[in-house]
Amino acid sequence: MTATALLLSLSGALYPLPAEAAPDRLVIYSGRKEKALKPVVDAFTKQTGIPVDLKVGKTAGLANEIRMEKARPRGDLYISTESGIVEILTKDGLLEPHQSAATKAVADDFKSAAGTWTGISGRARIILYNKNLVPEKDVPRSIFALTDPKWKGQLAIAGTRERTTLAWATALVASKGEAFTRDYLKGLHANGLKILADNTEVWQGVGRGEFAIGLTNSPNYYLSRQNNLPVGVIYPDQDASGWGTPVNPNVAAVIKGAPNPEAARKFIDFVLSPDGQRILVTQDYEIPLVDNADAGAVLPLKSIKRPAVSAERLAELEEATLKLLTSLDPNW
Amino acid sequence: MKLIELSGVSLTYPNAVEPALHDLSLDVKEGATLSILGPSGCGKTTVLRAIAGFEHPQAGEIRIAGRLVCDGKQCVPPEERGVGMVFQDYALFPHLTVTQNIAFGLRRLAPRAAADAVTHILDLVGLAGFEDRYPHELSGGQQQRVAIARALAPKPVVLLLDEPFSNLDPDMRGQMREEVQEILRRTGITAVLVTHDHDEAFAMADRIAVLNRGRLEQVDDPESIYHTPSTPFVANFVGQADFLPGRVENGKIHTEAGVFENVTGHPHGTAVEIMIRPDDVHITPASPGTAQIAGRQFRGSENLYTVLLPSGQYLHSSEASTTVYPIGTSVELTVAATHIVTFVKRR
Amino acid sequence: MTQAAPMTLARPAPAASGWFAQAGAIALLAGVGLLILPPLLYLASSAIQAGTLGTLSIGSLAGLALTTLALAALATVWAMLLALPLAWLVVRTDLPFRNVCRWLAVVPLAIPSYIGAMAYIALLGPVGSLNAWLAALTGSHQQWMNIYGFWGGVFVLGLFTYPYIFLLASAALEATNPSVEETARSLGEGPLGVLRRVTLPMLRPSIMAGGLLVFLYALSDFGSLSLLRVHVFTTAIYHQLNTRFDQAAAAMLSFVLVLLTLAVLVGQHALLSRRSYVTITGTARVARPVPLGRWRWPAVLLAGGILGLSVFVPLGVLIAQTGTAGQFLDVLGEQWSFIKNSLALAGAAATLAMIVGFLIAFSAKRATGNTGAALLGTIQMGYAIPGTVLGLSLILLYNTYLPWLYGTAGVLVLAYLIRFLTQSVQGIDAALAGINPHLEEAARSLAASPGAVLRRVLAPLVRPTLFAVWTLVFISAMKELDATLLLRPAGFDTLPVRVYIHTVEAEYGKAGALALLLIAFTALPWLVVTRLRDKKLV
Repeated sequence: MTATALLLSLSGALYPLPAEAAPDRLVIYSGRKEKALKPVVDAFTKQTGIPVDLKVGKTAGLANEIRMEKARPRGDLYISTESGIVEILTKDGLLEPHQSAATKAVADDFKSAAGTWTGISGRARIILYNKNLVPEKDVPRSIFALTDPKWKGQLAIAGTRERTTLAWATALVASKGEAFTRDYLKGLHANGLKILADNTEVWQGVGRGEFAIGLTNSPNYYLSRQNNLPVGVIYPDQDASGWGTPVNPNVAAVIKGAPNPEAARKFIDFVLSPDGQRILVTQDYEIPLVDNADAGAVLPLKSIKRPAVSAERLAELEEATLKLLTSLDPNW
Repeated sequence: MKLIELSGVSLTYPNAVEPALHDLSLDVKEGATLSILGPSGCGKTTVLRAIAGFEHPQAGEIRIAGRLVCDGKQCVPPEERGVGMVFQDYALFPHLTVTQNIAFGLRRLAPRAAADAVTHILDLVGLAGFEDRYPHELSGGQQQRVAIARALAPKPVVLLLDEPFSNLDPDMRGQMREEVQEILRRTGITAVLVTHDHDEAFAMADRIAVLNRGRLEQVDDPESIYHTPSTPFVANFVGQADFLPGRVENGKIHTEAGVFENVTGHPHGTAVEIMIRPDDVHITPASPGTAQIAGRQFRGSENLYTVLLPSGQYLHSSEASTTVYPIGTSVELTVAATHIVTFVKRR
Repeated sequence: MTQAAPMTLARPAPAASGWFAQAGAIALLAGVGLLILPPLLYLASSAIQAGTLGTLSIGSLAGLALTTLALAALATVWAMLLALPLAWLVVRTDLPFRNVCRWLAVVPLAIPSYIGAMAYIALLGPVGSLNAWLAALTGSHQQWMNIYGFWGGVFVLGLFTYPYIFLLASAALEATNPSVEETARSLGEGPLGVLRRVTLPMLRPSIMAGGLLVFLYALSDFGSLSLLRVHVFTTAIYHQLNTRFDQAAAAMLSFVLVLLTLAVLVGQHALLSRRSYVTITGTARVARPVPLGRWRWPAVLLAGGILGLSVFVPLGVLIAQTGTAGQFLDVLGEQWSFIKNSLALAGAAATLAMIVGFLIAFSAKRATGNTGAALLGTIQMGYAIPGTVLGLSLILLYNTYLPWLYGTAGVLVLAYLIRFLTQSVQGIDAALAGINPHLEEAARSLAASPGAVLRRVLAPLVRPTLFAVWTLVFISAMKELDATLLLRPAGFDTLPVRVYIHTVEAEYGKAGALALLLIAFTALPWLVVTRLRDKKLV
């Protein structure tokens, strides 16, 4: 049994189990990629001296966690990749309002009426296409053109596991009505639309030529380019009579009952500062949501035509949209 | 002095209908060897395990060296009883050497004293030189000697042996019997030996307890067990025996093979059976004789004849190894019973 | 020479050591109960409270159950097809390199199935390397190969779980007495007849036990099946939780999955209730290796093929993905703290599982009536709870009742115990069952208390098994992802979590390097233990 003692002391020596999070640390639950957020976090720590513990996961998974931890919250700040879910958390009373000079600079349709969440950056829904498979003249300019039989078997989209997909479909229902949306989606299905696990599969599938066309988010275009994939991008339905294309915000919210809410507030303000916005834009090609922030290489918010749908409306319609989608195909 | 006392011990195993031990009372004197003898399933090993503390009787008391170790409710655990046990399969620890096996029970001794004790006991059992062997590197007899040495090393109050010779070759068995007897004699230890072999019991024990289906049939010295068994079961189990029917008339027992003294004083007219051992029956060829030879088994040191009486009853006779008669020979019987044992005839 | 014994005691005092042992056993049972039952009860109660299938229909539930069971069954058969020939070749024949093969055959256990799936998607996916090569070769852009879907799931799961069967079957092959097979030959059976009528039936308990491990693994696996786009219970549960945000439906699905697993366990118990253990004592002769003759090189090809698919191909893909040695070393330096986290967690979980498993197996053996079986059954159920569901229920339970523990790495160790304790208990239980009970009694009669018997006799006798179960639990804990993702304290990532994050974020070089590190560190103790065993040190 000496071997046992040895093994135990070995594990102990390797790592003393960490104590409960100290109150002077900021704990962030992030559904946003680590690669995108980490530089902002580092800059924040450098500027404020507040150390940050980052827990990266899936947006909804972390929301489930916040729900389960309601009695004794462990996280301070929640970063979501979409606004529907923070609306649900707001209704459940799990978020703490935060309003400041910095949040005032965010466009109204990218923050909560109750002040419980604020958009920190945005991603537009785009058509991503493979340049080798789609000649320049055939590139579709509208999502509604994708029901054309010539795209049969060449379309891909992420399932609703990616909440941006759900937000996109919900925006369709909100502005075009359920009947129209159903017909449109039926048309896509008739065209053999492939529903994939996530957006990574979409941009890689398109980039490698498994699919000619994918419906995904704007940063994925830049990411594909960075990986030297032969892709092109269309911001669809931008002409005067067009529907526009939704821009989904990445969102930050202070968790109610957080051990360290002050640090969380400071972090939101920092992300919305010119420094914070610049890091997000250059790091992951996200669209700045703050007025007159530098958009860099990315198409700025004011140049994108968007359907006018409020976040509250999206949250209301989400459940019905989900039912509609799964009634068409359980894979959504 | 009574070193081990069992009084009214009863034990029933879970889910069993019949008790394994039924109201058993027994004692063993200090320094004596008791053999518990009986057929398989009679409960003899259970008695041993109850003394050792592996089985808990539901009723009765067990005392070891005057100390109550079990009262039918509470039991002292085996490790606090000071008994040494030798298992049928020896149960040597396969991961320990001979020395380590023997020293297993010597934890309370200083290392020096323990080493001396091991040396001493190895000499006693004649295993000096095998100290560092592992059990699988020993022969069956050597393994048994280790098992005995291991049990003796902590100087137990009593040594319990469970069918210790049954795993040995017949040659080895006789030799080990003598060796173990010598070891018991030299250490003067009290021993309880469980066996189903009456020769083994006769050879080893001062007293023998015969067990049948959980009940005690008889406890006595070996000679009495053999010559004056108190039940037909004992008579049959401890050696070849024939039971001749007879009748008490005028103070004598009349049978087909002769007339015997009515030593137990059965009343006139009682139908009895008289036990006759082969060594009490002598045959001589005669023409015409009263009986006829029906078979012969050559056993090396003797010839065992089966003799057919006119009534159809068979009787056995032990004759010298050199005395050979052909089957069918007409013979005259002489029954010279040294001990007349009678049982009232069973219906 | 009789010992002077106390002659006075009138009543036997209940032995103090016995009482302590009793109390210890009860405390142990209570501890195990408190560890495993609350998540199960929580699951049952939330399923019953929900009382509805939500967006699910009975039909889709039945379809899901059918797919899940079919997948698990086929993966098990596939794993047997891989494991049994390999086991026979390395144990019973003069196969060249058989010692190397024997060691390599266990390495797939160190490759998490989600990493295996990742590697095979890169190779056999619709836009994978193989299709690209074939397209370049033939000039036709048709899709030759597509690993996605049901059959891909079967292929990958069998490939990375067959060592469970291989380990048990090869050990049993080694322990069986060759004279039994020789008897069959002398009775006129040919080699194949002996295999079919003697060898395989003798191996059946081991094959069944290993097959069960594969089957349960397939039932509870999420990572690889999600990557391979197979729709089974675990992926449906994940979908309900992470898209639908619907904990009720997830609880219902999980509950059904746990019931399914339970049914499998009960079935196995019924089948094996008359199981016979291979005797581990005795001096079984080592079988003379069967000369392969002209089948020598085909056999090498077969063994090489199996090991190639399950070890070299995935490792090769990962190495190609990682890039240069310099990049690999960069990742090693950058992520050292996470490696440390994984090693400490898996080490602590394995050590605890080994000690607790030993004590439990020991108590279960002693427990009267059905208590022992109930205890072992309860522990097995811990394995049945999907990791994601276990994670969520532990968040609620521990954050509410043991807040000082939740938020530390300790909660991860407990989660690993819940999931993997059964591996340790089952192994040690089987080993204990093979020990002659007289050894224990002999020790007791030599004044050893029950505790001393445990320490001085049983523990040394099962020591090889203790090392084996330590390794097994260590491997499982090193690979655990689903529960870890949820339960890890902020900032406390493990290797699988890092592989997951970098894969999701499409940083394949880093993911590949970390996957290689994970595999290396997971395989390490196995290497050490086998080396020690070869030198007869354990």
